[in-house]
Amino acid sequence: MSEYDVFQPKLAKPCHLAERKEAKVAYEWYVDSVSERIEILKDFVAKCDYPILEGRDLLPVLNDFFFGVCAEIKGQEKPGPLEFSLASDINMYIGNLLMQKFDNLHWAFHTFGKSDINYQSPVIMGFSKVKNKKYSREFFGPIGGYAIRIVQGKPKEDDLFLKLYDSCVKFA
Amino acid sequence: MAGANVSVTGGVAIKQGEEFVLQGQETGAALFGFDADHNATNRGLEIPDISVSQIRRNQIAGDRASDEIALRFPNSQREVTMQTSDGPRRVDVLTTDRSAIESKVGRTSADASTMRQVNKDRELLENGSVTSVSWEFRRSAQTGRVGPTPRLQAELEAAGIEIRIVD
Repeated sequence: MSEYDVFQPKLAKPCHLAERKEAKVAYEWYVDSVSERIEILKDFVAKCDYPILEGRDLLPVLNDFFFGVCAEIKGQEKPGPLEFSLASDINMYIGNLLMQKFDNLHWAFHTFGKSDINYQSPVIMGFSKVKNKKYSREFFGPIGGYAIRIVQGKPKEDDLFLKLYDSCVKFA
Repeated sequence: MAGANVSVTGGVAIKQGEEFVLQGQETGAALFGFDADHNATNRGLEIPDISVSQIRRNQIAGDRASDEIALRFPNSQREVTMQTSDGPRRVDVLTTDRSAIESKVGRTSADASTMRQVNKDRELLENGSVTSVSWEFRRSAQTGRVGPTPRLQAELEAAGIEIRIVD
């Protein structure tokens, strides 16, 4: 049996419903946690007998691993803390990978547009090849949605994590 | 990050800190932003017969159609903005599993504005932000027409966008 610490978001409500101050505290906690969470993720993946490859090569492994975890609860109403925490960790891993490769990319506290899906959430910004100055990306939403699809019994999407990463490289 | 083992799922011990346990496992989805905070509600809009411009009537009809779509998908989000390289894309309905649904009322052609929407949807699909995009067309009570023009239909199909005619 392997142990895994579920990530503590430090916010008792979704980011966009939080007061600015508490959302900012949660954001800072999130960014401060990135390095530790990536190590926790890798450690857990390794203990589950998946190979720990470097950089982009780890993404298909993470997809295999994540699909396996979510498929274990197939048929339940929705994913739980474990699955969403892993989605959060993988979001951090992909974001960190991008920032290691491109100095201009960075975590940002999203504060524009209350209707924006990422309002008051951690996002990646600094993309240089887009005309939209507010362009931002995050992967927790797409990966969380993937978790829901898996639990619903939908098939594995082999290229999803690579797609998330590569589509950011294109605009970095 | 200390915590006690509180549950076991498929041979995996999940350690949760005190704060998280106090909030309860069932709130996990909400904490991670995946719960009913953006719930679609039936606003019960009715289109007034008089003193409303055609544009406003179209907007009201579109809103009502979007509300009806959202009601089919529990916890879906209405009118949510997603960023694309070409600017924001306002998504009529976004389901929890990340399917985007665009609502159109009446006949819709491939004009510049609509094509910009098509291209933004294509980008959201290609970059993995959404898993599917579908455009739902409903008959206009005013014109009696419904659906995309042949050119728009071809553009939607080329972009991988599903077309649904609700008649």
